[in-house]
Parts: sequence; structure tokens; C-alpha cells
Amino acid sequence: MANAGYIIAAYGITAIVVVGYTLMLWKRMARARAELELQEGRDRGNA
Amino acid sequence: MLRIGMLLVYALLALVGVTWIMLFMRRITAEKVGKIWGITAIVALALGLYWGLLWAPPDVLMGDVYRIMYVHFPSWVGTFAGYLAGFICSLIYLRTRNMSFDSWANAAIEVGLVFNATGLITGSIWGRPTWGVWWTWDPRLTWVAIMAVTFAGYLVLRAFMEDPEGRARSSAAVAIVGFATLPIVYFSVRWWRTLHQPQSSPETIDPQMVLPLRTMMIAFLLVFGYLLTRRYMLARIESEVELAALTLDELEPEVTGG
Repeated sequence: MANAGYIIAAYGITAIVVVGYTLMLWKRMARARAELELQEGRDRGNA
Repeated sequence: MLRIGMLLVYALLALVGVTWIMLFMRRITAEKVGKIWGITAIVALALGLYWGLLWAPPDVLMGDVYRIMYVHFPSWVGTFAGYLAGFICSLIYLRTRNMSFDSWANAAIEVGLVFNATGLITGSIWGRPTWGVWWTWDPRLTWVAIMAVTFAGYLVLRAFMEDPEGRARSSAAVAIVGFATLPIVYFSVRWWRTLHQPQSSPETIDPQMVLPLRTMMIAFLLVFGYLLTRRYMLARIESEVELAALTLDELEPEVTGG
């Protein structure tokens, strides 16, 4: 396949960006859920 | 193969349409619909990649390097879907002041920017062997860069504003103004003499190239939908955290002063 390097680079970078963003979203979601639980725990403590 | 493939593409498109309507009518949750889109996206991507990389014939002029089109063009579909959804949700937010539309707009624009980045990168990689340059300040490329900077500015603005309502109002205004770049980007290849070719149509390309292109477009729309629902859920959790922190701040003086 001619120009295979360009094709691999285009598909590879797209995959890295999209998968990387997905993983970052999962990580941020887990962190936000933990923070929410902590806040709710504090709220209950204050009440 | 072609006929079966096209039927499959239309079935996928119908699935996207029906699930969007169900989500809009609140018959299905964002979490559930996101899961459906995520699983279907994997199937569509597998089919699109097989058809695009192995089954479709090479281009007469560009040879195999044209296959970058199967990730480049769908990236712009994701970008336009994101910015259009962001624009509509911002308008609805300004009219209703319902914060969930602010979260939808934020999610759509952030995911749109991810696809904007892949569109720019794949375009640059495609430009090198076909135009001889990685980047040139041609009208289409310049307007795409302006569009990306505008929507990146939207996210920067949100990151720096603390008041939730003020942030929602200001960012909605930026999303609406930024949306003006979309038609300019789309029509730039017709309005000005540019290096970038004008839009192709199914009549001007081989049907064996249309099938993988449509499949990848729908696959990217499904990936966009999956990421959109995840980012929306994150935005809702973040606003709950923000609200809980504000409530706690109001309660604390009473508790400590108790």
C-alpha cells in the first residue's frame, strides 16, 4: 500500500485522541462521583 | 455486498434517529442511550474500517492515501454535530434558563472540539502527500482554525468563571457567536479560490467508496453520541458537586457559629 505511513499516522492519531478522551472522561467521572459522595457525607454530618 | 452494506447503513441511521427521538422525548435515559450508541459504534467502526481500508478500490489520482478520507470527513461530521448541538442547546438555555441545556451545550462543544482536533490532524497528514505541505493559510483551513480557537475559547471561558448562571449565560453567547463560523467553513470552498477541493457527492465518487464513507460517518456520529452522553453525565455530576459545595459554604458559618 503506497503512502502507508501517512494512513497509519492518520488512523493511529485519531484512535489515540478519541480513546484517550474517552478514558479521561471515565477517570473524571469516577473522581466527580467520589467527590459528590464525600460532599453528601459532609452534608449529612452537618445536618 | 454493496446492497447489503447500504441496507445496514440505513438500519444504523434509523437506530440513531429513533434513539435521538426517544432521548428527546425522555423515553430513555442518557446513560442507556449512550451504552446503545457505544456498542453499535464498535460494530459500525469495524465494518467501516474493513470496507474503507481493504475493500474499497484505490483512487485513480491519489492512490491509497485517499483512505485518510474515511477518518478525516467523519471527524468533521462529529465536529459539526457537536457545534450545532451546542448552538441549539445554548439558544434553548437562554430561553428557558434550564441548566441541563447548559450542560448539554458544554458537553456537545467539548466533544465537538475533540473531533475538530482529529479533523485538523488528519487533514494535515493528508495534505502533506497530496499538496506537498502540512499546513497552508488557505481560506478553508484558516476558517477551520478560527472555528477551533473560538470553541476552545468557549471552554476556557467556562473554566475561569465561577458563578454557574453567569458562566452559562456568557458561554451560551460565545457558542451562538461561534456558530457563525460553521457556514463560513462549509461554504469557504465555494466562496474563495482554495487549495481544498469542494464537497464531493455520491454521484461523483465510486459506490464502493460511498459505502465505507457513510458507514464511518454513522460510526463517528455514534461515537460522538456516546461521548456526548458521558460528558453530559459528568457535567451534571460536577454541577451537583458545585451545588453541594455552595450549600456547605452557606451552612458552615451557622455550624461553626452554632
